[in-house]
Amino acid sequence: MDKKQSFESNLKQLEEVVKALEGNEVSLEEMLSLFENGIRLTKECTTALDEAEQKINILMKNRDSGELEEVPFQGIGE
Amino acid sequence: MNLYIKELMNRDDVLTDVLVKGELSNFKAHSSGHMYMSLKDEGGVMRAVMFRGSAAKLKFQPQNGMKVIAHGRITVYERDGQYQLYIDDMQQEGIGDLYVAFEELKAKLSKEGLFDPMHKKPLPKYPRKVGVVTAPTGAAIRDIINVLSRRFSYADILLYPVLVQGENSAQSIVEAIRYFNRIKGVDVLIVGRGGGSIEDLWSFNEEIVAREIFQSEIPIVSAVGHEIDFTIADFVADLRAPTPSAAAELVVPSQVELKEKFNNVYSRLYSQANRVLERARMQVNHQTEHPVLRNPMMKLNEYKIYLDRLYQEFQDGCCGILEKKQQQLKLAAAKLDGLSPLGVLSRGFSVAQNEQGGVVQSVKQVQAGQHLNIMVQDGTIQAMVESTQKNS
Repeated sequence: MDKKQSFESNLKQLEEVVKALEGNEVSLEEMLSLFENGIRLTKECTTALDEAEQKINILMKNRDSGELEEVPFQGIGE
Repeated sequence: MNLYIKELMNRDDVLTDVLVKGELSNFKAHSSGHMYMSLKDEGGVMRAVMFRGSAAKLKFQPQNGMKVIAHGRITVYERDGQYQLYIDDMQQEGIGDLYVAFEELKAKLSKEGLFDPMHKKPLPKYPRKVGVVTAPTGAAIRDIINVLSRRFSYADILLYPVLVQGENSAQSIVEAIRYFNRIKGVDVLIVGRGGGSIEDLWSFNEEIVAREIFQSEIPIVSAVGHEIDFTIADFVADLRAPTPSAAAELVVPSQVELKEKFNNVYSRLYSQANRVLERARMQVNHQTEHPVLRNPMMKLNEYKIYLDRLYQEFQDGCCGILEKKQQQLKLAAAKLDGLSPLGVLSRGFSVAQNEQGGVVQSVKQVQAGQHLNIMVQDGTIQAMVESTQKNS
């Protein structure tokens, strides 16, 4: 799955896990699997943030096709 | 009578919203910050006042003889029985022409509803890609990239380089917005430029730019000039940012705050898991009052240890603001341990069981010659009953 798509859905799932845990009729086994799941989601979200490599691109006209294409932007140097 | 005339004038649509062109004379800047002056042309003269709040925002120093265009309302100063122009904004002529064009376009688009709050689109919470429409050089793009990288490196940035002033600049901004809407690759757009004179910022006051912003399906944050600069683009945009840096702050969440949020969610997870565990412990406690002293606490302790381990793993990989929780957890675990039958055995007590595993609680439950298993701290003793004796 697209890594970037999973971030938002992970956050959503995480909220759901916490909500389920907060329900009254949770057995020990259910609790454990919810807790495990919650930890996994939290980790995934944190890792996604930590490991995200930001792409900074600029749109340039391709000399041959004349179409715009994304190329790395290097103009931010002082 | 003065009051009556004043009310008549205040009810007049023209007098309450006028642009007056003229030459400054009798100009006086009072120490209070208010400015007093007259505006005159070949045909006549009119007294005018500009109060401190508006005067402070002027971008030039008014002088006698200067040609200006002033905006404001005309009403009566009751005490003197004199009508005068109460100026809320003033521009030098030349620049004044642009100013008139600005006011006219603003009124026209406002009437058409282009500025209505109902058309404002919400910004995405966690954009994956931010489109930027500005010049590829200069402070604006540098500030935007700096803030976006520092704050939320999760979002990619795509710059559409445009002319931000001079001929064709409005057209180039329009094309950029149109391009992003066609490829649909970005979640939010920042459209803007750094500070400059009113002429420099002018493309952001052009009608074609305003209409393109209005039509965009991608939410647009405008970021033109400095805090005091308002352009038509700002009014049409879904959100106006006072500066390009501020626009970057507005379009992405803070990574640091997000992580804090994860930690909060994690704390909730943890405390809820503990609550379930605590409830189970209560049930076990209740059961241990019954004769069948099996060992359900064992399982509970395993859970506890497991929770601790997961918790530790998480903390190792994270920022460690939860150390207090960890302490509480250890304390709770120690308490649980004290309640475990194993804990009781370690204090020197033993449990006798018959061959079926039933706990022996009374002399009546055994007979001479019967085999018993006696559980002690480190193992089991096989024993045989010789005789029994009841306490007297």
